[in-house]
Amino acid sequence: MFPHPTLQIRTVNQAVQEASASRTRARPSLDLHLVALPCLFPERSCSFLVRSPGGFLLPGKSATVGSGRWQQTSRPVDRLCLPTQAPKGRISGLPTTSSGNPFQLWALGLFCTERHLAKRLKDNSFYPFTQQQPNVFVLEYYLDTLWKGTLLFVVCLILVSFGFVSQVQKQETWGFPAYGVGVGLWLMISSLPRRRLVLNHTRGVYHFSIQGRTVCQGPMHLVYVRLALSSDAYGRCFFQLVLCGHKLEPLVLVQLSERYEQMEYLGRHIARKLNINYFDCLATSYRHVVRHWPLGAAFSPGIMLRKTGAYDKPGSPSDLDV
Amino acid sequence: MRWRDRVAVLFFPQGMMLTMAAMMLFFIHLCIFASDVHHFCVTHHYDRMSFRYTVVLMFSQVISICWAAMGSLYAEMTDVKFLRCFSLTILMLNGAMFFNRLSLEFMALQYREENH
Repeated sequence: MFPHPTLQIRTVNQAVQEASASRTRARPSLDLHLVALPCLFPERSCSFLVRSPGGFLLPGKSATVGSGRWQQTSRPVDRLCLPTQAPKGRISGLPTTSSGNPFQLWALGLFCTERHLAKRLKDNSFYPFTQQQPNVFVLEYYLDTLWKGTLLFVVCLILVSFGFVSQVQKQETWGFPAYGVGVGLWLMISSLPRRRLVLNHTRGVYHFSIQGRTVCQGPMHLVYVRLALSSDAYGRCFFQLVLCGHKLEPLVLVQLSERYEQMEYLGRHIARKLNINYFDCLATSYRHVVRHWPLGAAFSPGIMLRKTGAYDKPGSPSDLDV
Repeated sequence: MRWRDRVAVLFFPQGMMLTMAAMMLFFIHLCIFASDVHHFCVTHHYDRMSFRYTVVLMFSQVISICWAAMGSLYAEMTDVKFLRCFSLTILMLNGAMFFNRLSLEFMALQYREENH
């Protein structure tokens, strides 16, 4: 597994130690505050969690949410040298109508992809969005299936029209490139309209539209940045940084990378800049940062304390402070 | 502008498009199968059967089953009962068509076997 950064939890430290001493799980300190994460989302919207790459949560599972207040020492990702403040004077209040390059999500970099993202973040600290007004972020993009579908369409059209693989051993095989033509055409047409995603923090909603037609509009807690985990046959873990949400197409910000800490730092940085939720790759984790709760949980934000009986005895020193 | 909006939104929930494509392929396969059965059992013009397209037909049927399965998976994640029933029906029809085609091919093989 990835190296575990040092946690410093002041107030509940003793209780955590006691809880970790009383149980024999691998990470006993993680389920202190159990939060039913699906309560963040409406009932029918849990489908996008399963659909997004890497898989995230199944409905009915619960998750632990630390409020993001814990501190970490010894950041090894400081070499990325991110700006901590918005660099340019873009916050001047003048709405800039032209937002960034709509093709910027196509080029994710071949090697060292998180460094590529860090470079992008240095140029535009609200990457991939652009700031239109002080609290309004706009992202316009084309899906990357546009060039893939176009490539498939062109190649298969050439194959069909010149009859390269039309007959193999007395079998008519022109049907294969004909399929390619059809599928490529469909991919091309379906990703040709321009997508536009607006995070409007002044009204607390996000707005997703395709070619000016609204697909969905909802509260801000349904949009999030998360780390997706996938592992290969040798047990190595690869992480992806994905911007996703209810009824949104998952947008991959960083392709597969092995460096967990840098990816987590970048994800938290993006989520903090855009002021949206951040979720870790594990369903139950201390590293979720939940900034927006659903409306019903505004006063009692769904945090249920579990194992209250574990708090009554004084704790013995344990290995939490690594 | 109106039809363009429609196209843009039509393609967004891709599960439905997969089911529709699988249904279209199913009807094509059904036509080919009916023509084959007709030539095999009624007219006995065996050379007009689709033997020269066997590879493409196999590929097409497998692709059709895959698309129907994907569409059914997407539909299962929604709560619309009609969509779920519809895409599951398409999936089962495609599977049935695959086995019908298989049995027809075996009948043709048995017929064309040379017995001396």
